[in-house]
Formats: sequence, C-alpha cells, structure tokens
Amino acid sequence: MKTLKLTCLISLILFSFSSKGKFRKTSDAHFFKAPSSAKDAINLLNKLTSSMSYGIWTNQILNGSGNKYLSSPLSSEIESQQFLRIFSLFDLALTTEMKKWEAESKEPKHFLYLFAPMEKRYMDDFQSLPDHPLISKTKKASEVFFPRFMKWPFKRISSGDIVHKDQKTTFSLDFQNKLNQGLEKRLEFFWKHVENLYFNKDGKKNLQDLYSLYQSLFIPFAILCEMQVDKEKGSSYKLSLFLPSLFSFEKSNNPTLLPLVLKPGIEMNLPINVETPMAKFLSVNYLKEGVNNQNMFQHARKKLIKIELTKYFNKQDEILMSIKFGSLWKKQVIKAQKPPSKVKKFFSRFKRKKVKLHEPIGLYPIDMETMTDGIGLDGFVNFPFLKEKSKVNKYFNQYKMRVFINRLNINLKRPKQKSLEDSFKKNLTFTTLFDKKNSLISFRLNKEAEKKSQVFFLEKILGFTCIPKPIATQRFYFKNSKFECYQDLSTIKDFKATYSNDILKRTKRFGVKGLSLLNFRHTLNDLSNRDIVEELKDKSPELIQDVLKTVKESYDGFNLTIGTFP
Amino acid sequence: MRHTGQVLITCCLLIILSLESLASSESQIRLKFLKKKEERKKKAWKKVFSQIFAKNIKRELSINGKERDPLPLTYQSLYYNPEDFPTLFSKIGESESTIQAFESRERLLSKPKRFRYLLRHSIPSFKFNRGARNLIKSYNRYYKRDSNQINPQNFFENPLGQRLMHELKDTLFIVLSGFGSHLIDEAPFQSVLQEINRYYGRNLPNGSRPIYYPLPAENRFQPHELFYNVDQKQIKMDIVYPMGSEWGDTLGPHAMNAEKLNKWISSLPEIYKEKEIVFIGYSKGLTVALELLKKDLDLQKRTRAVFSLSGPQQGSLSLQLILKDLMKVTGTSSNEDLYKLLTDQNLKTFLADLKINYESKNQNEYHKLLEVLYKIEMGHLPETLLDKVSSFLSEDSLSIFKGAIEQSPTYRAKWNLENLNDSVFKFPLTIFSTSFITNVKDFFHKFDSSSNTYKFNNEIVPKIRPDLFKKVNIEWSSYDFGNDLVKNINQFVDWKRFSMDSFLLHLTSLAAFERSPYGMMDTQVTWPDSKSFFLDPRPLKAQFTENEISRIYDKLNLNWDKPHFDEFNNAPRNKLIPEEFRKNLKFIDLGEVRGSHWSIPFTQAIRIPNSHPMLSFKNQFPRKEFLLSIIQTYALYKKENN
Repeated sequence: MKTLKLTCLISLILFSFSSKGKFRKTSDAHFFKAPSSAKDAINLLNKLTSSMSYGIWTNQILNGSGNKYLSSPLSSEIESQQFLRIFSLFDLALTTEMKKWEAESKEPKHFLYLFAPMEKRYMDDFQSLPDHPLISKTKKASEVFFPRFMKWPFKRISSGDIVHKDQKTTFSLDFQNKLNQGLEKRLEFFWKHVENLYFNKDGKKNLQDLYSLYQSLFIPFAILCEMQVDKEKGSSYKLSLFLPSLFSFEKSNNPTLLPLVLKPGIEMNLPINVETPMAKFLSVNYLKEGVNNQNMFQHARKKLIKIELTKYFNKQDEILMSIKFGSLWKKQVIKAQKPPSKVKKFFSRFKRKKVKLHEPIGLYPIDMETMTDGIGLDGFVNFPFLKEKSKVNKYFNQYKMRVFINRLNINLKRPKQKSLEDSFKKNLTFTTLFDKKNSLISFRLNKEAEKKSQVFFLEKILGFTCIPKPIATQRFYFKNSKFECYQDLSTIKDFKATYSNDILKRTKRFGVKGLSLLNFRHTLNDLSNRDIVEELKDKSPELIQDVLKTVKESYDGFNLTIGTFP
Repeated sequence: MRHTGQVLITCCLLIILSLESLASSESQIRLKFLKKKEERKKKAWKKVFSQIFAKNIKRELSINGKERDPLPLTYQSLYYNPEDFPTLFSKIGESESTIQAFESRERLLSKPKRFRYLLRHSIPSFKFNRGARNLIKSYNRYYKRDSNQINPQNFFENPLGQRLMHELKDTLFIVLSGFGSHLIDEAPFQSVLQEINRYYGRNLPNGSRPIYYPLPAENRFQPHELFYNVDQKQIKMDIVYPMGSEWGDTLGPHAMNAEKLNKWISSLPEIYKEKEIVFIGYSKGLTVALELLKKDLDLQKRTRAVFSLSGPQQGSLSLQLILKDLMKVTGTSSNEDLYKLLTDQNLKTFLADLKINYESKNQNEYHKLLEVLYKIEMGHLPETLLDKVSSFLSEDSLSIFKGAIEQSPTYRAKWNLENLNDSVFKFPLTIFSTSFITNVKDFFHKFDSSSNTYKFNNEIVPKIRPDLFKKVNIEWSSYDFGNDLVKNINQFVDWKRFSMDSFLLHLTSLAAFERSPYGMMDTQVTWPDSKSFFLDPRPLKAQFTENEISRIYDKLNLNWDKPHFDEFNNAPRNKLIPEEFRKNLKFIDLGEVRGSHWSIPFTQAIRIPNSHPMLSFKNQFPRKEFLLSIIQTYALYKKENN
C-alpha cells in the first residue's frame, strides 16, 4: 500500500510538470473551431453530459437491479455488453437532442475539437482562446484532475483553416501539412526514446529518456471530433482517435530505472480459440511479419492506428465504427481517370440519384496497402467436422494461416422501431455487425517445404511463392535448405480482379486454388456471422480469473507485489 | 328380528352421521366459499382504487382545460395488473437476468390496454352492496359530468366532494409524513390539504399551515390548536396533519414520535374528539401510527383503518444500508463524537467487557456502539445497558440511530410477528397498502402533460446556462439568503430543471437497487417490504441470512407456541401467525403507483431553505388525484362493510 501511494505521488508530481517540453520540437495542443456563439458550445456540452449520464445511469438500473438479491440474485450482462448498451442509450439520447436542435436551428452549426501535436515553430500561427475569467477558472479547476492535459495550449482554428466543398469538410492544405509533420515528428520522438530505453543506449539507466517520455506521453496522440447540425445536409458527428503502433511490456535485460520496457508489436494467445469450418485461430499478433528485434523500431515509427466512429443522425439506429491499421501516408500518384463509356453514360440518367451524405472531416491519411501493417490472427487450416487426429487434418494443419485485418468496419445497429419513443421504452442495445464488404482483410497461407517435390507442388499447382531459408549445418550433418512458402489472398474483389483476365490463371483458379478461395470465403463468412461477445460471455468468469492470474504472476515475477488492499 | 333391529339402528345411525357430516361439509363448503369471496373482494379493491385513480387523472385533465388523451399521464403515474401481489411477484421471479426482470415487470404492470380499459369504462358496482353501489354511481356520474359543471378550484365544493363530506362526516383523516419530514415545510399531498383547509376557511386564501420565519424548527408552524379551531363551517369529514416537530424529531425513535403524536391528537379541537380516525401514513408515518395504536386502546377503538403509502411495513432497505454511515447523514457534531469515542478508555473497557464478536473486523468504536445498540433493540442484550450506551453518544446521534434501527427489516419483522395479532390490536382494523415503484428512466424521459409530448429532460444532471458568458451579477441581501442563493446559482445552472430530490435519491440508493428483489423499489423501500407482513408470501430466508433469522427467532416473544425453527425459516411468512390469532386485522393491497419515494408526495422534498418553491424543480405527479382516490376508496369500503 505504501509503495502504491509513493508511486501515485511521484506520478502526480511528474505529471504536473509543464509539458511544453523544451527539448522536443513538437507540442501537443487543443484546437477549437469557435462556434458562432458560446451559447451553442454550452448547449452542446449540456446535451453531451445529459446523454452520457442517461446511458450510464440507465445501464446501472438495467444491470444493477436485483443482481445482489439474497435469495435469487439475477444475472447481469458482461462488461462488453454493458458497454454497448451504455453506448446505445447514449446514442439514443443524443439523437433525440440533436434532432430537436436541428429542427430549432435556423442556421447550420459546426463544431470541431482537435487535440494534436504541432511543431512549436507553427504555434504562433494560431490564435489563443479569449481569456474570459470563467474559462480560466474552469481551466484551473480542471487542472486539479487533469494537471498536464489542461496545461497544453488552447488554440483557435480560424475559418480559413477549414474548407467546406462538395458535401465534404476538410482542413486547408497548409493546416493539414502542419498537422502531418507534427504527427510524424511526434511518433519519431516517442519511438526514439522508447528504443533508447529498450537498448539502454545512453548506458546511464535512461533517466533522460524516461523523463522525456513522462513529459510527452499521452495516448492517443491525436483526437479529432467534429459535429454538424444542419437541417438540409443532415446532422452528423465523427470521432477519430489516432494511436501509435500497439506495444507490449517486456522485462528489461538492461539495468534501467524501471524493470519493464515497451516493445512494439504484440503477440498473444486469443482468450478463446476461434474455430471456423475450415480454419482454427489461436493467437493474435501485430507488427511481427518480417520484423525482428533490430528493425522493429524502424517499422513502429511509421505505423498508425485510426479508430473512427461516424454517426449520421438521419440514420438514427446506426453507428459506423472503423478501425484502420496502416502506415503514415505516402505521396499519392494521382491516376488519370478513364472517361465513362457511352453506354454507362446513357443509363446513368435513369439511375435514382442518391442523396449524398455530408462527409465528415478526416485527418492523417493512412496507407493501408501493405497487408502486413494489419493486425493478424494466427491459425491453421483445419476441418472441425473431421477427427482432430485424422490424416486429412494432420496434413492440412501444416498449412498455417495468418489473417491480416487492415480495416475492420463494424456497424453498430439497433433494431428499428416505429419511433424513438419505442426505442427509449425498450432500452435497446447495439448489435455488432461485421461489414465484410467494406473491411479490408487478407490471408496469408504459409507452409514449410523441404523436398523439391513439395516445393514444386506448392509453387506450380497451388500457386505459392517459395523462398529458400538456408539452415546452419551441424558438424558433419548437412541438411537441404528449407523453403518458406506463402500465398497471399486479398479480398474477393481483388482476387477476382487479379485472375479474371488471364485464361491460364482462371484455369488455375478453378483448380486447387479454388480450394483456397473456398476456405477463405467460408472462414470470412463464418467470422462475420459470429457473435464473439456471446461466446466471450460463457468464458467470462474464466477469462477474468485468467487475467487476474496473469496480472498477479507478472507482479510476482517482477517483484512488484503491492500487498492487499484493506 | 333382533338382526333386523340391529340393521335398522345401524342404518339410522349411518343416516344421522351422514346428515351431520353433510351439514358440516356444507358449512365447511360455505365457509370456503365465503373465504374465497372475501379473497376475491380483497383483490377487487386494487382494481377499484386503480380505476378511481385513473379516472381522477382524466377528470382533472379535463377540468384544467386539457382535453387530451389521459393515457400517457396515467401510464406514467400508475402500475396496474389485476393479479395479486404473490402471483405477480412469482411471475417476475421467473426472470433470469436483471434486464429480463425489468422488461417483465414493465410488461406486467404497464400494459396500455389495461389503462385504456380503466379510463374508458365505468367503475363496476355489481360486486358491492346497495349502499356502496349508490356511491359508485355517484362517482361514475361525477366522471361523466361536463367540465363546465365542475369547480376546478376546490374539489370539496363539487357534488362529489359534498357527497364524500356527508358519507364520511364522522371521519377524521390524519396524514402523517415520513422520516426527516420535520425538516420539510411541505406537507405530503399538500394540494388536497390546502383545498380542504380553504373549504373550512383556514388560512385563506392559501390554505396551508402558516409558517413563522425565522423561528427555530420546533415552533415554526402556527399551533394546530389555533389553526384547526376555525368554525366558519360545520366540520364534517376533515383531514388534519402535524407539521414540523409537532410529533417530535421524525428521525428519532417511534416511541417518542407516538407519544408526541398522541398529545397532538388529544389537543385537537373538541369537535374532533368523537370522530372515527383513519391514518394515512406515508413512509415512517405508517409505522408510527401502528406504534401509537399498539399503545393506546382508546385510539385503537376509534381507528378504523390505516393507509400505508410506501410505508416500510417490513423495513427500509436503503436505511439499513446507510445505517453504519449515519453519522455522515446527521451532520451534527458527529466528528466530535467520534474523536471523543476513539479516545474514551471507559468505552473501550465497556465494549471489552461485553465480550461480543463484532461483525466486521475493522469497525471503529462508533460502529461497535451502534452494533451494541442494535442488539439491545433486538433483545439480544439487556435493556439496562441502554443508559450506559446513551452516556457515550450525543442525544442527537442516539435518537437518530434508534429511529433508523427501528426501520431496519429485521426489527420490523420481529415487530410484525409480535404485534400484529388480536392480543395487541383488540379492535377491528384494516391496513391498506399502496406501494411506490420507481422507474428510474422517468428521471430522464417522461411524458410532459403541459406540452402533451414525451420529453427528454435529464433532471439529475445540472445544465449550464447557455448565456453564462454574459455579465454575471451575484447579489446578496441581508434578509433573503435562501432566494438570493437560488437566484445566484440560477445564473450558472438551470436550477429549475435540476432535481435535487432525484439526484440524491438515486445516488444514495444504487446499492439498495442491487439488493432489492428484481430491482423493484422506490429508492427507499422495496416492493415486498411496502406490503403488509401478511400479504407477503416469501419465506424469511428469502430476505434474511440464517444468522439474522436466528436472532429474530431467539428473542421472539409470542402469545402462542413458537413454530419450529425450520418452519419459521422456510414457511411463507404470511402463514407464520395463524389467522385465528389475528381476526381483528384485515390486510388489503391497493396495488402500485409509479414514482419515487419523494416525488409522489412532495413537489420538492429538498429545497434550499427559505427559498421560494417556484424557483426550484417541481416533481410532477397527480397528487391531488391520488389522495382523493384514497379517500374515495375508503368511503366505498366503509359503505361496503357497514
């Protein structure tokens, strides 16, 4: 208990320091696009707090009523289900408020909040927020709870920095470039110090690196929130979070100040094995493909994860969630567009014109072309309808499968009701629907081969690509080189596009390659139809025990036992 | 011949025996039939009350110029299902999860079709005797009257009001408020009380008990002997109510409250001395009324009925849960008390001498004292220790703890078993139970009758004023602190749309909701606990641990043979006292209404002291309609049982 208190105290002191960070080139800042009046901003705040409290308190009643009744306690939902319910109720309340506000507003309203790193040399290009006594007093009061968060500068985004064009809102090119550069430098700074800590580059217990990280550590690195209230174009909001590469903790092999260091990438067993009709997945990984201890920090510097939530208030029972794994943008080559054919042009006149929804603002374009940037599920080909030790399964189990998810689109949907009143009365929650069509998922099949005949079969018949992987000899025993064979399969659309024009390839497609495609299709369909949350529910008590056990073991292992709480 | 004779005699005997048994079985059948009829009638009162309430809502809406669909307001104020409490409790109990239970209870108790039926149809009269039928007809006529023919200002000036005045001319209703009510300036269901006061010309034009500021709480209200001593009209039926500390510190022990209430009743004007009494006990008011009746036989003789409005007949779960933290609630010199206790060697010696195993290891001396006090109240320690315990605590702390202990479920269970019988209640008495059930979503989303729409108004989160950044003008005067404070707060926060009542009630009852059966409570008293002991089918083990049950059992003082412990533990509690020992008592369930423990009786339970009611949030509930329904139901009951 004493150790915990001391740790908290030290953290509080360190977190209280100014985080402008004289030794780094970027500073984090809060940017606001000023609403037309402070009244609007306060109205929005009231609606958000109202809706959030509705979600939390209603869930508390729904899941906290009679669950501890002595004679027959009722079961309540597991945490993930409760989270979805809170979110759904929050969304219901917010939708009601926004529809009402939309109807009452004469003019459209636009709100924008951005928390992002920016190079210090550009900071003075932005005006600070006006110094109203109430704002400074609120800021001071908030500093008690969030000391460092509130010390970052508060800046205004001028109307010149935001462009509204063709149903789309974007930042001006100049502003975008400044933000992009800021993020790049921020990531560079972060990973540089993490790397130094990992390898103990300064050889002095990394005090400076630790200090630097404490001064600048706040994840996510950027938050963007935009809200539109517009009767004609439709109201919407978008919340985006920008995170660096996922990382894990590892015991330090060097005599550093802390026993743990950060390591980019993760590799861990799934809480439950995911079995599909043609494959079985056991673990999850990130930033492990083609990455080793020497180059992992190089890779991590470029990686970016985006989590986006988009809501159109006209679609009152739906929220789009997208998680993107990719790399920082690269300069795009603008492809020349082919003009549409005359036939298409003729028939386009008769097509029903879709009402184009207003596209919310985006930031930090992300490159998702590299499959291995995605988060991976590891498993192998397996047929659960056969016996586990059957010869067929034993053979196919040798084909390892890694699923890469570069973009995971999930639709949160509520069942439609006649009116919002009905939805309120029924306290409906969201169901998660995996959007197969708009997600970006790829497969990589891996198999090792030793004999040339195996290599021939894999390359010529199955279309694998085999790379020799020489192994060290052991005294007088020479072994042939091992081959690492792989085959990449992207989404159905890409696959078809790759093979549709080549007769030979089409032939191969209907051959054994078709089996791979079948596997891919089945696995994808199965994964998209599963209710993982329900599956987790059954395992929940075991999971919690496992998590607690793991935490305790890690504490014991690192001598960080803090004793029992009173 | 001899054989023939024997056969004849045997046949005769057989015939006689069979006739006798036929007669006895006939009488048994008749008894059973009457008993069933009685049970059906008891159930019927729930429907009668609910229908009267619904119709009163409809009537009031039409009088106030709101010719609108009364269904939404009825739906929001009433929970109704014709089945009895044990059946409903069992049906809801079939749920496996908290959400299923919530949905089940809303489905069973909140069916719009049933409310439409209640609103649309006349009150049926065929089950009642002639006298009651006539009265029902007058009710139905009143509901069908044109709204132009109804006096909207005062119900008692209307034909139905007059009829009730006449029917109940010998009845005095005494409305008793709840725990802590001496701190509130508003009487429960005040609007009806004001109307009857105005009818009799008391404190016109307002009709409420005059308050003398800034006198201390004990003397704040105009003495009742003066207030009720107005003889502009002949007093027929009347409704009286003690205010402030007229029946003592309402946080304190029942015995003290009962004694003071007795004095209060005795000192009412002469005209009330001969009237029959009906207590309408809201919350603790109910338990104090029962305590008073237990002690005073003369009053028992005069009392015909007791209405329990969310009375903690079987205890208050919320109060039990905060019992150990009560010192924070009192806000008296509790910290001083605690400091003194922690350093008091005499106390340490006293507690050590008692040699009790305290329930929790980390209790401080304050908690230990409280536990000792609890054990004395439950009879596990001699009463002679009370003086010694009292010497360690301040008077306030002692009073509040005793008051709270007496509301705990274990204490009430023992009290009910020992007292609800003919040896204590020697005269016929009917106890009516009405439960309050909260749908917490009503704090956020409810039907607004003024705009006739459902509104999303989160009343438990304060809203910042949109024009906050304009010039803020904080002003204080030396004489109007309460109103000034509200006005100043109003510049920052929309005070009128923030309900302190709902906020505090909800926040302090989260733990209670988790522990209440199927989450059904009104933030203070759970659904089954608001029913009379003999309407509740649950065995004691459904509510108490074995340790608690043995504590009750060991010190139970009954006038008949105590059942075996197993039976005591497992049998339905409504069978624990045989009916032949409680023939004088009748228990009738009037069903459930929807709202919270405070929002139903009060427009504002918590208000900044000395501030004007109009400046703060007002709880919405059809209070006038509710109390009138109680009176109308009683009038019918009286007619039926005359």
